[in-house]
Amino acid sequence: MMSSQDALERLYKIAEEIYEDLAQGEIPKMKLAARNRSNIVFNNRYGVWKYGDAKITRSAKKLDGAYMLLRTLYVMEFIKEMIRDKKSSTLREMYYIS
Amino acid sequence: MGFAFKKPHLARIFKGVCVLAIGCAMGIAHRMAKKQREISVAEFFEKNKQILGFDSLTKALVVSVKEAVDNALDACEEAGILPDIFVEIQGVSKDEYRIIVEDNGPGIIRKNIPLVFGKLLYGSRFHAIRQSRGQQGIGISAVVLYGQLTTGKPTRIISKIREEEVAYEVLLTIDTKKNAPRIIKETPKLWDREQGTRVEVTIRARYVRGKQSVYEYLQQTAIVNPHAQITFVEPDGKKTIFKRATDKLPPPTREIKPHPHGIELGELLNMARNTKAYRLTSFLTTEFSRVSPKIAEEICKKAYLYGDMRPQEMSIGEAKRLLEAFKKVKLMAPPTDCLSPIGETLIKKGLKNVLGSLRPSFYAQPVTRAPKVYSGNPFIVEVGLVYGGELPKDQPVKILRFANRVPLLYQQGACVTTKAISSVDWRRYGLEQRGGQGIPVGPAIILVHVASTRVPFTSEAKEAIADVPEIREEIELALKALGRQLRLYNVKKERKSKLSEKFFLVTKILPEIARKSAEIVEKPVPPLEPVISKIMNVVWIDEEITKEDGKTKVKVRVANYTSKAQHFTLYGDYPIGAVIETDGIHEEDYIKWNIDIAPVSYRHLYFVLEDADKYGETNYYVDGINPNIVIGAEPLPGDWNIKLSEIEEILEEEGEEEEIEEEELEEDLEEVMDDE
Repeated sequence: MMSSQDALERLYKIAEEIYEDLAQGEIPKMKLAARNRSNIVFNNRYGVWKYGDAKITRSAKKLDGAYMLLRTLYVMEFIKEMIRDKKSSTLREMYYIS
Repeated sequence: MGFAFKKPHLARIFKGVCVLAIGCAMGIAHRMAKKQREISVAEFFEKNKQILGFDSLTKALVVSVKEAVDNALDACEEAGILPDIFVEIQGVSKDEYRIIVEDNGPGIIRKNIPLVFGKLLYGSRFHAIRQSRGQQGIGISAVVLYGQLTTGKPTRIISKIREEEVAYEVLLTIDTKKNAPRIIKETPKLWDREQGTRVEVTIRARYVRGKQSVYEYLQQTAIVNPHAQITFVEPDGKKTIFKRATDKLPPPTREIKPHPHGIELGELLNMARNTKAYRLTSFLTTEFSRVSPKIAEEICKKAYLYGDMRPQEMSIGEAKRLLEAFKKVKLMAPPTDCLSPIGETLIKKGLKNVLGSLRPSFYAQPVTRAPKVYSGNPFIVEVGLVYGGELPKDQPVKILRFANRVPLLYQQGACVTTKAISSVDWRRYGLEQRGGQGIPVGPAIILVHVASTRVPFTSEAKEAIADVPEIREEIELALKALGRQLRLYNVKKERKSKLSEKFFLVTKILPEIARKSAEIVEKPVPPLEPVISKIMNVVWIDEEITKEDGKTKVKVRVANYTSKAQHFTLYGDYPIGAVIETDGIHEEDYIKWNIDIAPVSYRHLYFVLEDADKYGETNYYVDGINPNIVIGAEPLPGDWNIKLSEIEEILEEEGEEEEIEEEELEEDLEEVMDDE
């Protein structure tokens, strides 16, 4: 399991990338695992389906991408608060609470 | 004896038979001959009203008004007078209407009044080769004839020329047997006009509004005659004034000689018989246009004729050879100063003036083609298009057809303009059209004007233009040029709506992303300008309208979303109203701003209009900047300067008001001085 410190650091890194893009005058973007059928692989160790190695880039150049980036940042802030308060939540619950 | 007796007897019988036989034969022929006689033109049209367009009661009214108004406009233009035309229709009884048309033209001399109105085929333009509305001299006398035929009432004409003190009032009918006027009463009359003509005809007719009505006819006349002011009073007293949009008369058309390519054999023989020239070569050079002495020699040579021969002695065979020779030599196209196109600017002005209430969102720059020739007759095609606004989206486009500045309301399907419109594939230009053929569907009005010394009408009623390949091709080419403009407009509109999404992105979402990410990484919010310019990379111009106290305030926002500072000139060509306040430079008919704008920054401009209740959209133009990066403004059209000179003249009329204002100001000043 990932420690909460690790999680915080990795979240911070995503936000930092977006921030750095903006500061350098680039259109902010983020890379994430491709969400399509060919990019799902069975992980033998955990016995579950996981995303594969294919990545896609979401950028703020278009309205959809910008919305997604902004939403991600809000989710990130929520997770940060949860970790700080030592709470846990499901994705569904998160939408209800926030 | 018997023989002697028999002989005269036989002779008598023979004689008798002969007389009988001859009598029989001659009897039929003679009896037929008794019935054979000349038909007067008046009688002919009396029986064949439909040839002149009097086929229904509603149509009779439109045709009658049209003939009278055509005459009025032609008379004014020929005399170089700005036409001021008054049209009134009064209901006399259920099916009877009185048409009154009055103009401020030069008037008609007393002697000619009965002939002009009371004799068919009497006119000034039949023999002249130049562009005019009327031609045969049938029109107005046919109306007089129709009136007397259907109501029995005579026509009243009042006309006054400038040189005389009094006007003459004439009451007349037409003697159809003789095709001559029958004057009922002729009296001098005091008239408070300096000059002009007034016609009052009572006809059997039906008054309607809407499609194919007198109103529509006058409205369309106003579009293509922006120099004319037309006042219309309907039977119920409703008064409409189609205001003058320009003070400039169309340049007078010059009469030209026939071009060899348009001549027929009979015409040629007639001309040769009646010429004063002694030699064939001089006949060719003096009686035809575009024939130089050198070309005349060449024609004679190709026709195997002596240039020295007397043209009066030319035989039919020789004339035929001459015609053939005409085709073999290269001739310049006929001169075109015999034509008077409306011009691109005035078409736009006319359309705006009359259709402004429909608030079309796009006025295409009208297209006037270069003059062309069909069988020796020069012609010019002009087309205009308006699109969008409150025009119905689900109906076929409206077609406004004109020939020599006269609206054509009937027989749309038979007209070359309709055929040309139907054969263009409008789908690629953004209008719906089933199968790429037929009249397209969409919120558009298409205007087509054909001007020629001889418009090839399909009938005497002048309702449709015949399908001449040369004319059709010109119309199609002009329509396609308009179509390209329409497509460009639609592409730009789409681009603008896509960019307005981005506009929301850079003004709302992006700052939020920046704020949020800065909060998480606990750093100051970074400057966003470079990112914004990367996402947008355009100069954005849009307007926001607020209305209060009858004033229209237009705020113009200019946003430079590029990474460079921009310097350019912005022109605002507002549709209607008068500018009372602006932060730009107010020129005669538009507003100009010199803009200097830093990268990713905004500028707010404004102007306030008065009398602009029907304000649509202002056309914005830019100059001194790459127009591809500008959204919301077009590049300055190439004819902008030409437009300016014309606008200056147009404004002379409005200048009167300004002068009054100046006088008022002076009075005010005097008052102030007096007070002091």
